[in-house]
Amino acid sequence: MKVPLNWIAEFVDIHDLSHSQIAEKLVFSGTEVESVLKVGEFAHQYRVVEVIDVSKREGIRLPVCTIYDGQSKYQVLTGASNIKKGKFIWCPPNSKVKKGDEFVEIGIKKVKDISSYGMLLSPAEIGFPESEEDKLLEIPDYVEVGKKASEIFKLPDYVLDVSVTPQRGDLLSVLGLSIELSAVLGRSIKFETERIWSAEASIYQELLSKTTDEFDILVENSEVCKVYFGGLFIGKLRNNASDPIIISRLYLCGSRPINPIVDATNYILFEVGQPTHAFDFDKISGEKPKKVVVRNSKKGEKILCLDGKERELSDQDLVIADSNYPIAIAGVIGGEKTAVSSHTTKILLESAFFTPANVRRTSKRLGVDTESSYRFSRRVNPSGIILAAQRIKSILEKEGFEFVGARLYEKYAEFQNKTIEFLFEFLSQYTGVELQRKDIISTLDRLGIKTSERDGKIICRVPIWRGDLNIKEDIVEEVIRVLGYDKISGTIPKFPGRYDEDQSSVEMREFVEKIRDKMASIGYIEVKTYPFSKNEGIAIKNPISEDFAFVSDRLDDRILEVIIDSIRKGMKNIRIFEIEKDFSENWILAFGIYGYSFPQKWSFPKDKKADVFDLKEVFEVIIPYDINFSDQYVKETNGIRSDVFVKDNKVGEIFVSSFKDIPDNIFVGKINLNIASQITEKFGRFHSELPLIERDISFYIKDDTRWSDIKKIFFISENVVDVYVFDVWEKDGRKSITARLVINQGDRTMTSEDINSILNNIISELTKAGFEVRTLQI
Amino acid sequence: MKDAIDEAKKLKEEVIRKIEEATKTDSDEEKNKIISELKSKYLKEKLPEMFKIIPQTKEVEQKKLLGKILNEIKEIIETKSKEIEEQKKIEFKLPDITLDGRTRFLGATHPVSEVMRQIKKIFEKMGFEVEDGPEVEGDWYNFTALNIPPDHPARDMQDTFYLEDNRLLRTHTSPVQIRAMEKRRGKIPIKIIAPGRVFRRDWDATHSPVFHQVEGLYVDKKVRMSDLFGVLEFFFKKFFSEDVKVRFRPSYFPFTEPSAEVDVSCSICKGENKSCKVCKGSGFLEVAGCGMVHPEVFRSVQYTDVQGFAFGMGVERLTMIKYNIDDIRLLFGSNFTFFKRRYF
Repeated sequence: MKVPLNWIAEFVDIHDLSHSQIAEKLVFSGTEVESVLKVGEFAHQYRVVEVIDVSKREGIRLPVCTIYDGQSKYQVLTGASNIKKGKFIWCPPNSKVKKGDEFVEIGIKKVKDISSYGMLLSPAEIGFPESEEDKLLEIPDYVEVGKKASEIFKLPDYVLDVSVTPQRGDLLSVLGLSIELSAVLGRSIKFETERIWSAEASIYQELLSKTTDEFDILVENSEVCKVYFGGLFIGKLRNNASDPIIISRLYLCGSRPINPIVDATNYILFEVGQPTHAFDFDKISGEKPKKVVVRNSKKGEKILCLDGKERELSDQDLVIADSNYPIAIAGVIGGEKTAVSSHTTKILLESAFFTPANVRRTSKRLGVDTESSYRFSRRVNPSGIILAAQRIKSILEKEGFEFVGARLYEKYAEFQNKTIEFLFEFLSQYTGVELQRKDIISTLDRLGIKTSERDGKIICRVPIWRGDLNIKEDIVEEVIRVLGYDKISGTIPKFPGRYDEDQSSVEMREFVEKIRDKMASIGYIEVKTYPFSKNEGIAIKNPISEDFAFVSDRLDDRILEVIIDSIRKGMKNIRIFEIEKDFSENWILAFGIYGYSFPQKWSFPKDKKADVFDLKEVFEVIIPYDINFSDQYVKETNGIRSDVFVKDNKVGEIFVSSFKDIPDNIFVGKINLNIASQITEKFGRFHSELPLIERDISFYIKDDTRWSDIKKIFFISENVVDVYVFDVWEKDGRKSITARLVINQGDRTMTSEDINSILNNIISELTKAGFEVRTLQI
Repeated sequence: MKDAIDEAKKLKEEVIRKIEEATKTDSDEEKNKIISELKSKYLKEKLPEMFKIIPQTKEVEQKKLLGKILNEIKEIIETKSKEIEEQKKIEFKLPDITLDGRTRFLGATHPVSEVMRQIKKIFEKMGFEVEDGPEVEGDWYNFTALNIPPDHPARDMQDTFYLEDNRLLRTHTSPVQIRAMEKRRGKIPIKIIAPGRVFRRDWDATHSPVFHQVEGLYVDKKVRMSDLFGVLEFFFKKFFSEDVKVRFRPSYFPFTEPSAEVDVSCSICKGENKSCKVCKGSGFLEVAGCGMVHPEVFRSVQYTDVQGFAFGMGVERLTMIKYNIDDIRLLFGSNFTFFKRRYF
């Protein structure tokens, strides 16, 4: 929300404070200030002028205007479409105007034989942020020529962009923010807050006693609509534009002037925080008394809204309707049919209270977010409803309208000031800091919270605008945030040693961290992938994009995607991994390889392409036991998939894939770490002072022989502690394997007979299994 | 026979000269040459030949003398060559060592994983336990139990991914607070941290649809705001550095009351650079949200007569600040090559 400081200054004395001091005060009491913008620093150079003639000259495209600044006449060319006789803002020669983000000096321009003196200004050129650039700013005719723009617009000014937290709907107005600021600055508020402290209409007798029978208010859904004020005005707009102050402030608040009627409602919206709506009473259908119905919409009912869009309603939306059709979506947006214009002669002014949840639902469902819906969904101050109407009335009266009478539907009894009481000690006991009673009381008082004391208790009565204060902890926060969180100095509690941790998940997490380090140590880089998919997983109702339509726990697919992406970025050697939980709360390790088996550097074998054995390395590192691959390869669109087993447990999968535009295969694997962590083996005899003995056995194999089938033969003797394939080769058209055995001698030195006996046992087993032993290297 | 003795004497002189030569020269090559000549030519050829003469000698005196000289020569060669051998400079010829080392693939853990470990370690030192929770959550855990009822405007603070069957992707790790209390059924104290992934419908240089948070919860009889501030001060000083300034700003979270945002002083510019990109000249960086657990939250898990604090911090944000990474997207997907650099 944008707030001009000059407007705040009408409610709180801030003349001695800089904009940054004010911003800091707000920030450290809980209201974030996103930015502070200085506006209109050259406005003192601009003047009100009257355009007394607009004419065309031959050979000159732009119209030539004759202007009068109260002393002299000048000629000015302008390209603005809305040029006509009337009052405008003029930048005399040798002054600066804002063009985009820069200031440009304006001089006397010569076009043919015409000298153009200075320029007539658009709102953007005056310096109003985000305002029209191609249209002159029109000001009412009653403003005297020669006056400085700085004077009529109250410029320069600073605009604070504050970000109000969702529970503080009361801060969404100049008045609300001023009350807050008065409290945090410790200054008085120039407003009779008693008038809005509780919700009751009685103080507005003067306004409400004048009733009218031109219309009736019928509230059908009193659960959602708690107050509905309707005020009728008759007249004719006196001026072509709103008061310059209103124009200026609407711009500074991020809005734009439309016509003096709409401007009045918007101005008061920003000032008091109460959204109101002006209907063109003549355009509401029905006979006297016209019916203004507050009801739920009917399913499928349609309304053309003020923004030119037609919207279809559900049976849950609250609307304002005439006897037949909706004329506004309550609290959200008005209808086009009953919109006011500068020709409107009868105005029905609505000021109401709609419950936050309902307005929020409708606004969300329809996707309409207006200043009005924003405030209603954060709860408007019930005591501001009539206040707003009264302030609008006084503006409309100046603009040529007379107040005819009002009708009021109200359930003010539902808005009661809350009382919160607690022991004084609670404050220090909850915050850990000793606070002075007088500081507590005066802080609360400035926030509009009335206090009294009884039996060591503080009794707080909360102003009606603070819907967010309900419990004693809320009051604690009010006191401490205004006094400053820096009053609290940190303490470290003595944490009692009670452990509820689930030991198995502690161990699992430790295992996961070990695997993370292991993967890094064997050359894999850990990545974090986006766990989303185009077509697989759990469907997201409101996805961020088509590619992220599902949330997925298939980590291996994500790794594959990242590898493909990296290849397209030009990477040639890729080894990555990720560890995350799947939907069944299992920790999954996924990893992938692309490119070569070695870094392609001078000291490594060149051009050795990565293959499935690079993939297998990871399995062997993570699970250093016998790993088996399923014979059942599953063909998928881009490759084949196979399950990986350890002792009949499926621990993971591998996926070998190839893609048209990618030269080599991509290898991806995944391991269920919860299963992997369960696989352990008791150590056998592993320690001996004597050296290990190595022996190689070479033997022929058949085409369909799998090493994993042979391997166990070598372990007949418990002295064989390791066996690995030393070489695979072919001779005379026969395949052959050289296996290297590692033999642990045990407690005593083995004789060559001992060793031979082990080897002979193995050889005879191999022969029995049909493998011909070629050589035995001793 | 006299000849043989003269020959032996000459041989001795020759050997001594050669040894002197070898001792004098600076060249290891020359030394090697001489020593191997002494060993092969003299020790293995000439001396054995001369020794053969001894049995043929008749005079005992001459026999003895010849034997003595020959043995002397043998001894000189053996001891001196050993000495010279030891004199030799120890010299390796190294190749161009500026060539790349035989480094295999350089792996790395993810910066976020590293920061996660650092965070856990500090809190574990203080006695916090680690707790987990699911990423696919129900509305109750993610919102309602945390005092964010349906249609509450606070739901707008976190743009949520909704799934079928009233499920959603958790928008914060705060649901673990609820789960941890439910699990303990009223037992106190509770002192947990809950690290994990969270999801928000937001994607730009500072927001990712998936990111990591660490939640903290401490519940006991009389936990105070000062305890919360003290614990977080301790944490951030350990995490960043002892001289980091930690400050608390009032804020709003539906599940805490009072609530605060935590700022730490900018480690990049130390608050001295008005155009610092990291802190935007403010000198401080927002790093966490925290507060005293809202009584409504305790009510939803049937805890009574307790007080507690809770906090939550974004791990990517802490990583970005600590390691000066300016775009959160660099931490995801295929931007992993820079992780290899040592950053911790």
